[in-house]
Amino acid sequence: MIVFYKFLFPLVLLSSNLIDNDKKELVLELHINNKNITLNNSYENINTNIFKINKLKFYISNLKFYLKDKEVLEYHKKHILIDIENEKSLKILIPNSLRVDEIIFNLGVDTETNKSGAKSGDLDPVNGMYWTWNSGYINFKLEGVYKGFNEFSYHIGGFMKPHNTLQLIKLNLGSKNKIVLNFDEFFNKIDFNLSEILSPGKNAVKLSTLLANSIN
Amino acid sequence: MKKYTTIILTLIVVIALVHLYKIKNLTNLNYPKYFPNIEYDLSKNPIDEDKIELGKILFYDPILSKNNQVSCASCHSSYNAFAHTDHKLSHGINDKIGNRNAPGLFNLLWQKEFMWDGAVNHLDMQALAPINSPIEMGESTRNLISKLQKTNYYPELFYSAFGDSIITTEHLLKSLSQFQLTLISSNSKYDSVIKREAKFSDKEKRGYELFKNNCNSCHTEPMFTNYEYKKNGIKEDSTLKDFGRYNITGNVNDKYLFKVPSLRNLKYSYPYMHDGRFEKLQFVINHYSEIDIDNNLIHLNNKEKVDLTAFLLTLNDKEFSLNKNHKFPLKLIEILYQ
Repeated sequence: MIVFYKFLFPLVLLSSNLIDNDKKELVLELHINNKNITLNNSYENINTNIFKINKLKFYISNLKFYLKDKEVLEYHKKHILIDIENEKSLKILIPNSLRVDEIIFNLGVDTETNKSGAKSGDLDPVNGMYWTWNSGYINFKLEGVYKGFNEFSYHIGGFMKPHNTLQLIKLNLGSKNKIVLNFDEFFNKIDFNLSEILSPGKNAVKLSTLLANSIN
Repeated sequence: MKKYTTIILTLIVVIALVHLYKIKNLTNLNYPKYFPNIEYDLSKNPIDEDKIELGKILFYDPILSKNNQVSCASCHSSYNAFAHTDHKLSHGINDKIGNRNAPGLFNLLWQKEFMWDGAVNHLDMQALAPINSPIEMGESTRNLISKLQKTNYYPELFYSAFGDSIITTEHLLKSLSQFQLTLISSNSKYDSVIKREAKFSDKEKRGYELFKNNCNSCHTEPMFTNYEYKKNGIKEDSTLKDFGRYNITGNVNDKYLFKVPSLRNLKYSYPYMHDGRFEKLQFVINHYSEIDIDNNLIHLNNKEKVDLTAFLLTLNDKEFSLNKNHKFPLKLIEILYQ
């Protein structure tokens, strides 16, 4: 026992420290006009619509890292809830030595998870990303105002065919230690007159495709 | 010697045969062999006495509603096979009236989807629908968790059940599921007949034949439902405007489709249909023999209707409706009146 405390235990501590030091941060940046989105900031799209964003939350799942078309790491957490208001959620830790040039992930929660009962952590319904009146996760939640005080709410979700909104995203990272998700195309093409999408259906699928095209 | 071997072999065969029809034992979840494979994945929520007990206390505790006045049991009474007898539509907080009839709760191990339109796809998630609904219990999940955490008894009960006194939505929902999974109804006269412990009367026997020819395709034995969504011939109600399954799928072919309910325990679960419009079983049978649903009309004369009713009444499970294990838990009385 003494041997354990005197020699092995410090070694264990040291090695766990080493593991922590051995990680690097990949920062997720959510962009409009090549800059991080700021909540409640006024933006203008190509149709001269002025809008502000006050909520942006979404799930990414099955995150995989690639180098030269070969998978080098599958992220340990299957689902990550990204919340622009939670800085911690925008940081993804990977091994320092890992070289990566591409990532692939799903935007949203997969069908199996949508159908398999109560979950905790990022998938806890208290996060406000679950429809209790029509079982299923909200994959993507965006709220804000346009043309002054007109509100828009997009709660995009739905996993049942033909209204599956899960989208595959592939991004080239280059050598930078950041992942940039670009929302320019989404806000340029969105029709704010359709200001509320709050349930699964055709419109939700349309918006999820628009999102995927913008980010990809 | 040979004589003994024969006796022992015969005994083994008899015991094996009895077992075939008797009970499959799955800690606390006993059901007959002739029931189908269960749908609920118990490996993700292993059955445990403390979790069942906690789930039962939660089921009966009005703390689950915003004004602490409505519990699950308010609309799902154990004496009525957990349906809401005498209430067409369910009642919520502040005297609000819902838009559907509260169905009985039993044999949920075999049920994949919940609500009359299948809005909920897992038993775990079912409780959140009434809890969050403004016309039912009106409480937010976050506020409910914080209310439970602040009591001086729930953290301890959650600790006994899950080894963690920090209350989470997952543990709340899983314990509610566990109690509901124990609600197994399999002791009706029909079950005794299948187990060869009783016999149908002549009237019931004739009713059973009529049932098999006219009803069994949707209300399939032995659960008495095929768990599908079907037209029940009821036209859209001008006030409720209930489109049924269409509300969930958005598919026009699903308009006015509702989940096929089990026919077990009809004696306790009146009124009938998704909007509780028929107070008596006789009205339901008359409805189906008068209404042509997609070219399906059930032709029954008056004598046949009486026979069919006699059979349907063999599906009542008195033992289930009186089961003491399902009633208001004494522990909750201690808690509420301490």
